[in-house]
Amino acid sequence: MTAHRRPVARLADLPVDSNKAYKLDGHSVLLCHTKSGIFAVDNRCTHQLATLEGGRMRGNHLFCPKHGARFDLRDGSTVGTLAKAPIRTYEVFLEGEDILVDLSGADASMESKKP
Amino acid sequence: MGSHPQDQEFKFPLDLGAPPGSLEGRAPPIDNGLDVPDPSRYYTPEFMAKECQQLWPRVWILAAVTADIREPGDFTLYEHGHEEFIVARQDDGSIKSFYNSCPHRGNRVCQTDRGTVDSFTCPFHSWKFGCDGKLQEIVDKETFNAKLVGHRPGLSEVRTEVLAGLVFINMDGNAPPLKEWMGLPEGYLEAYEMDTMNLVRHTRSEWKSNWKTGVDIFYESYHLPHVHPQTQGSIEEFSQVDLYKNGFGRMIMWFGIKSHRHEVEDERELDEGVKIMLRDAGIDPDFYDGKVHETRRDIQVAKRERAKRLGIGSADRLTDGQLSDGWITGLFPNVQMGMHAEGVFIMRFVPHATDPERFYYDNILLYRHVDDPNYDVPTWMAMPDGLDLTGETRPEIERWPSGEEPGIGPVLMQDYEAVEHIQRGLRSRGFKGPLWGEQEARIRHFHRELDRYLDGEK
Repeated sequence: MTAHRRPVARLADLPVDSNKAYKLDGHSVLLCHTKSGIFAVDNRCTHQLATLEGGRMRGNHLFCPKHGARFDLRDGSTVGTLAKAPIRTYEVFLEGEDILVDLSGADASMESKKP
Repeated sequence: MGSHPQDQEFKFPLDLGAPPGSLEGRAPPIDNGLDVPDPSRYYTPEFMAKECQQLWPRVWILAAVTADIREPGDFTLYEHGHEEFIVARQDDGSIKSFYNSCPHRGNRVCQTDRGTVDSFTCPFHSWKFGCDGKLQEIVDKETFNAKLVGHRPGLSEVRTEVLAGLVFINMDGNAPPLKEWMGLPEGYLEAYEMDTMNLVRHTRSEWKSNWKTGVDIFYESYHLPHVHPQTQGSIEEFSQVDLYKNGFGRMIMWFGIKSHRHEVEDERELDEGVKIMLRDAGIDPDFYDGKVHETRRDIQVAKRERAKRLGIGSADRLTDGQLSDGWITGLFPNVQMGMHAEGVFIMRFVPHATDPERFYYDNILLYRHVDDPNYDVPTWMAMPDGLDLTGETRPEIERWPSGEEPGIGPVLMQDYEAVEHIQRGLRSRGFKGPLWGEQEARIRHFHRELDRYLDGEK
């Protein structure tokens, strides 16, 4: 299982209340750091396919910067009526200062595991 | 003021005896005559069209609450008839509103009820606008003749003013300043400090009547023992009715006491509803030794003591009556607010875009969050489990498909069902127009003001 964990970023690269996209195996994955943890989701909105990077975050929610579609970062589910399909989520792990993402598990609980 | 109806001759009109001029004091009477209006105002497309032309553009309409748009970039939508507005917090902390209509082809620019953004992008051709409404980008701008877009068309702004945590818009821009137009006494709304409450629930349901039929039923407590008989043991339906300028009004409803109409066989036998209200105030009803006419007063004392213990400063600025009672407050033309120490129920009666016999009933629940294990949401607020009361997560608007029963709680469902029957009955050839009594004085006051707009007096 751990073979799928890939170091993606350092904690220092991702302050609280910010998000940043990383390219992993041709996949654009968005790391989001909120007060409640670090989450990884597909960097593509299911509403009109805009990139989600730079979208504002509140609580556990991410807002698409283009049309405002809203997603729950914990499980990728939609909030509100704009987007009809959820975004894919990935499991996140912390090893020291490294943020690792497990690209194999799409549906497991996505709460970050802080040491 | 006696502590209970049975301590005095209890009759209507009710005067709670608070000093004249105080917020609780009885307002001087206003004579609105005895005219019986033609019931066609409740159902004809002609009357609806007149309201669209002469009422709605000229009044201040409640579009949002500040609790819903606290930070720059926060926005919420307000749909009113065929119009829709974006209400957005600006970088400088002010609030601006815009017609939600793209200057390019008219498309709704924003299509989600609420959120937080840096800009708005129209989903049709991706024209982009700042939160200040200014045009930021036209895709393929070089393919537009400069004569068409050289003026950099942005979102059309709507006049917006804020008072006591409430955001109002005025479409034609010619209404008097909001504070001048507001008919309530100075400081009335501010006393509840709504700007420090959280918006914890917002429902919008479609009701089968004219919007004024909705206003009318909520503007009197005369119907309480008949439509809501279960409230008899814990709410007094005789209210102090106060009429204010510009069509505004208020009724003070006593909570936590048996109605004067409710038979008392044993003065120590408490109604289940009162027991719940005692418990909500921190009094264990199983050990309560007061009598039926003492509950309201004891609830006030308990709430006052608890507020002091928990450091709830807002309670210091409310009267004893405000701690126990509902100050049911009407903002002309289409808002009624149930104002309580713990929270405020905002009801908005929103006209349908095309059908004079439909309206949308908005219920916006503002709640003062107290982070203490000894403090709970009052049971009568009927809040569903699982609501975030902290203000951290802003709720989506809960909607139900047309015809489906909305999940708004049993008491409001009784009103929901009642208005359909009222609407059907007042269309009858046999109905000659409403005969409003003194307990319904606020309804007459509201319609009298409405007529001033439609007759050209205002």
